Amino acid sequence: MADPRIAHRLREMPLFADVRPKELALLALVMQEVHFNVGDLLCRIHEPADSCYFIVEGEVEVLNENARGDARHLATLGPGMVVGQIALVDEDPRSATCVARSATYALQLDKSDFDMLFSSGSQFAYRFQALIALTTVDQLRQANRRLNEVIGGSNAEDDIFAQVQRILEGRS
Amino acid sequence: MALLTAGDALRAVSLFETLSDEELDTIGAIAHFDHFNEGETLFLTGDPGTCMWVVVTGQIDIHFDVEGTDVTLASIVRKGILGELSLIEPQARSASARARTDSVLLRIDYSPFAELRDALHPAPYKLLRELSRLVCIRIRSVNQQIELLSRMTPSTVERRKAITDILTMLWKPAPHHG
Repeated sequence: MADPRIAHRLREMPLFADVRPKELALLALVMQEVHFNVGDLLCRIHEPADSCYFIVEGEVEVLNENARGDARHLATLGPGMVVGQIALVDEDPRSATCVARSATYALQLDKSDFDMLFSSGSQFAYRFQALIALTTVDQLRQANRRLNEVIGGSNAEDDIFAQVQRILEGRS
Repeated sequence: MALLTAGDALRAVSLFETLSDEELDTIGAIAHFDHFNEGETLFLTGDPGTCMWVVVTGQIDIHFDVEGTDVTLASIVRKGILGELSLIEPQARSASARARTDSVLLRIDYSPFAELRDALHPAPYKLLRELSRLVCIRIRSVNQQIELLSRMTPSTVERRKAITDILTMLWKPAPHHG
């Protein structure tokens, strides 16, 4: 049985506002409620990824940790936002660490359930897929920008560096 | 050649491999064959990008002009694609493209693609799914280059080589995937 509480919470989020009642009931059936305390990890960089989280309450910080253990702030996400959605299309491990900055209540959607919804022609799955595509393009832009910054630290008198920088600017 | 339908041309391309015959025909119906003569320009850096192409025959050079010096970044041949991110979101072209030989390409415009998407037809969403995967692969390539460059001391020969490699990495034809 679908949990009416989950359907109710989904309905409150803009992402699900237009979803038809029947599909919302199906989503409520496959999604799981998850609670995180301050400091709990929703996901960790380099670990296997097979689900995403829709934040209902709370605040989640997205961090990039490198091999030396330095953490760089990428974003802070709040209610109505989603973390880890790249896992629904890409097989690779997590590309960032997500940590709860306040008591967080979220709804978890697994890749296998998303695949099922997508294959069955779910309107929500289609719309969410379009959103994920835009997210990936945005992340590519950010990556190109960072690459440009790293190259910016090079010898500016060398033509090749200026050349690559100009190309990357165009690519943004 | 004369008997090749748009659907057939798409079927050969890995980006389209998750589409059914019917879905290939749906995309095929909004696609158009373009002919370019040797030396002809498809687009220039900064032009609005509102379509993608599949190379049916011939060869397209992706190139970039730096103060009069023409640098070829990649060559796209049969079954290769170019401008594909325009289907996710129209954006300015990041390099120029020119036909190296007489070429036949199949063009998919953003507008009719977006109409199929808005009509909730499965085909555009399957393509968006594959395109998302492609973008994720590119993000990883860029991040690897960032890691590599961050670890190098400035002004070394290796550093210069790594940066030159970025050029070819960014425009190399899409890998086969899925």
